[in-house]
Amino acid sequence: MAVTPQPPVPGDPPHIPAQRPAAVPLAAPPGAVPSQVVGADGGAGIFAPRPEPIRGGEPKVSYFVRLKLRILRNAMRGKASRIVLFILGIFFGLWAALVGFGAFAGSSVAGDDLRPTLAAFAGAALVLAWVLVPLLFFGVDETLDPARFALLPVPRRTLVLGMLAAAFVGIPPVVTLLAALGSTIGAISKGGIAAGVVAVLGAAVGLAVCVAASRAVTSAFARMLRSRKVRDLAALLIALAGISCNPVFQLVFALVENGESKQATTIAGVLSWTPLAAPFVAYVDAIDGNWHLVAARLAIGVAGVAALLWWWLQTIESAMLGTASTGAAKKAKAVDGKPVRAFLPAILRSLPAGRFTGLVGRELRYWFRDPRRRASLISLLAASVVIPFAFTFGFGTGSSAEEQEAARQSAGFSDGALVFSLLIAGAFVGLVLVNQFGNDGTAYALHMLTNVPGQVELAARAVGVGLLTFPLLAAGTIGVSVLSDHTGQLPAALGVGLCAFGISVGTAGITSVLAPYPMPDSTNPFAMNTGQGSAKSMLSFVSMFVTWILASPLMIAYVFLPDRLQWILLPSGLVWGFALAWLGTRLAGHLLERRAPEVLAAVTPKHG
Amino acid sequence: MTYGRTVTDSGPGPALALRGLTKRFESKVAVAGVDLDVPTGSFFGLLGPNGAGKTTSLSMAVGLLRPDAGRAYVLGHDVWSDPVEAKRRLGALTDSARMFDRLTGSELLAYTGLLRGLPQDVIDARAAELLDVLGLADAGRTLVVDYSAGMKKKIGLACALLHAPRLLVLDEPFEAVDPVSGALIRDILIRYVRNGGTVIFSSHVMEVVERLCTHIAILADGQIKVVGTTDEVKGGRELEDVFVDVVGGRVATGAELSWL
Repeated sequence: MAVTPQPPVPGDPPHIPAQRPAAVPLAAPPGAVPSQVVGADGGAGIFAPRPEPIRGGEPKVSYFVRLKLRILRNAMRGKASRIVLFILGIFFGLWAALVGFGAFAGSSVAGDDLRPTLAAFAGAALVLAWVLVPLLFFGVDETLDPARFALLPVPRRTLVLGMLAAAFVGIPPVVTLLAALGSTIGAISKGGIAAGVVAVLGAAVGLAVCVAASRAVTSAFARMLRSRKVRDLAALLIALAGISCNPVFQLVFALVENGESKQATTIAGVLSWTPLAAPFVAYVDAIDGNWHLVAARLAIGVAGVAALLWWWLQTIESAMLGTASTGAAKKAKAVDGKPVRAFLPAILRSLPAGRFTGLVGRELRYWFRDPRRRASLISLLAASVVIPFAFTFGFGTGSSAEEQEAARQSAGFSDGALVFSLLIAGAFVGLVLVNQFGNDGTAYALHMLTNVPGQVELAARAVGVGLLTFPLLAAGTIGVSVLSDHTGQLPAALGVGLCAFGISVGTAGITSVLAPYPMPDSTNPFAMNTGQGSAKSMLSFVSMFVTWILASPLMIAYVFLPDRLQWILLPSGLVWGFALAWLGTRLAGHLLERRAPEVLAAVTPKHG
Repeated sequence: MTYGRTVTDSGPGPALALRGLTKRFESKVAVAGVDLDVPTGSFFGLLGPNGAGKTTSLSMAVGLLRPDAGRAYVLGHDVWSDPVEAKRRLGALTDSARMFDRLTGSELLAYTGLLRGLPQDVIDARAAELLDVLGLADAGRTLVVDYSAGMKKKIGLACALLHAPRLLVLDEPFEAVDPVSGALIRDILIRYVRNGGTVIFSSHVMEVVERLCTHIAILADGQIKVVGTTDEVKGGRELEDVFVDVVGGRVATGAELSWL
């Protein structure tokens, strides 16, 4: 446990006011509360201490749920805009639930030979999405930060169960449950009410797997990301995981199109015995009447949840202990006589030292030092490498014999896949800037006190992320185009990618000034506040869509230009992207000039 | 352009003048019309209980929080309409705002200096001296986020002093600071005032205010209740008694909390 009450040390009485008879029990039992002092006379005077501190009831799991609900409600109180965004979120969630419901229902009414495979893939995809999406895109809802409970006498079992229960409160879990319930359609129509009940149970256990896995993995990653050595490894792991998803997708597409695939059936068979898919295929066994198999699958799911919770508990404890110990280890010699030179990163030292180089230098240092930004760096890497890889190799390059037809059908798309993927990857990069002021929090006050003009501020931030991402994106594009033998598309792909990147920087700059929101002061770089954040983080979608629309002329040109003229896309993409990045940054700078105090107020965490 | 004391100030007058500053948060009025003159060369203490509006007032005075009404002048320059001139003469230490704490102390000073537009050699010399005097040179490559509370206050003060401002606005400079760091901060501030600088700081520690300040203002419920030189405000009594009187606090009589 993070904090255990210290038993009083004999001969070293705890702090007690002088009026009290200081009769300290010589050998207090471990865990005794220091102030538990028995009056010498047991008297009834006004200062006579009670023999026992009042014992409150045991904390209940339901408290955590009620706390979460209360926080959500308070965040909404009196804020019309937040209510509107929350309702929008509900509609968005309902739409996603409908799509998911359709997918699960579709897999459940498929033919008997296909159903187990599709159900397994659908379930596994859902769990993987719960694990990967928070790592790559949004972060995890940490309205209830475990560190807040460090000083409260909450048994760790109650704590972890309570946190889990609270994690079920929110839009995504409800959406997931609704989607997974789609399988009841097929279960009831094929296997009757009993199979339907199993489907509902399976969906519930499956949801628990999703939530527990998402919590455990983000919490573990958060701990890993605190050490810089592990960061690169973590980035690589996620990138590899993303890339390795592709063969699976490929198989699923082939399966849907061609009916059956031996590989897919085998993989699904294996998945069905892991917590990833087991709860989601239980109803299939119920339709077949294999009731002992049903029990086994549900048990696997429950065991998976238990194992994940155990893992989560380990990382929660380290989160509760905090990071106070990490700083002491760094002991180095005193600063040399040149603070400015030491502050500026090497690539900026040849430039004249001034306000702009200072700002860019601080941005670059922060991308590597701030845990939250490090997590964003992973997203950047994923965007720059995984997305082009996924699109180029995911479609149309099917190697196995069964997929020839699929390969042939998507061949037309494959031509443009690389270019198209760069449109998405480039636009994705800007997302890391959407809440750039929220990430820095109240530290932005320094820039206001020193009169940093809004335009300089925004331009420095754009240059900072550009210095990091531009080489990454270019290298990723060149690498993928060479590896996939699409070098002919390289100019167009680079043009579109860098153009989309430039536009996304511009749109994200504007979004970041118009709709900043505070980030929780948590040790977890994936932490998000549902109350305030998730509604506004929807705006990152808007920013991405706008980027796509603004970059679309280039895509249209790509489709209609003859091959030998496609090189034009590289210079024109660079010019168009740069122009819009400049324009967006100028505009955002103007806005910031007028809105700086409002931005600072918006990113200040609200207490009480 | 000059980098320090020789910046010309527009005539005599208060170093900081607040006129009718008002701020309302949703339904609660945090600051209800604060008027204050901080004379040039004074060591000014702003006293007030928790939630009185000290931080809100000072944030509006230094241009971090937009007032609903009212004006703030630093040596005659309006903080909100002429921020460049006002903020050049102003150094501020905020209690609520974080610093860019993923930098080391030396890096933070260099960064602040670059933002202030100081020449590189001036920054290098001043930063090294400040780190030395404040006892932060030993911290080396430790990030500010890993500093103790006292060290954070000291590096914040160093950042505020780097451009040699004429006016220092400090929000709770002695909050959570150990006695040794507190004494050092006090000595530096005393020397700064002796050399012609002006300090206004907020606090709710009576002893510090009583010992340091030439002028005192007591803020409660978003309004200045009492203001004057230290002797005028005290009127021969203990400052704490005056404070409790003005703020209207209660004293525990003994009948309550009998279960303690």
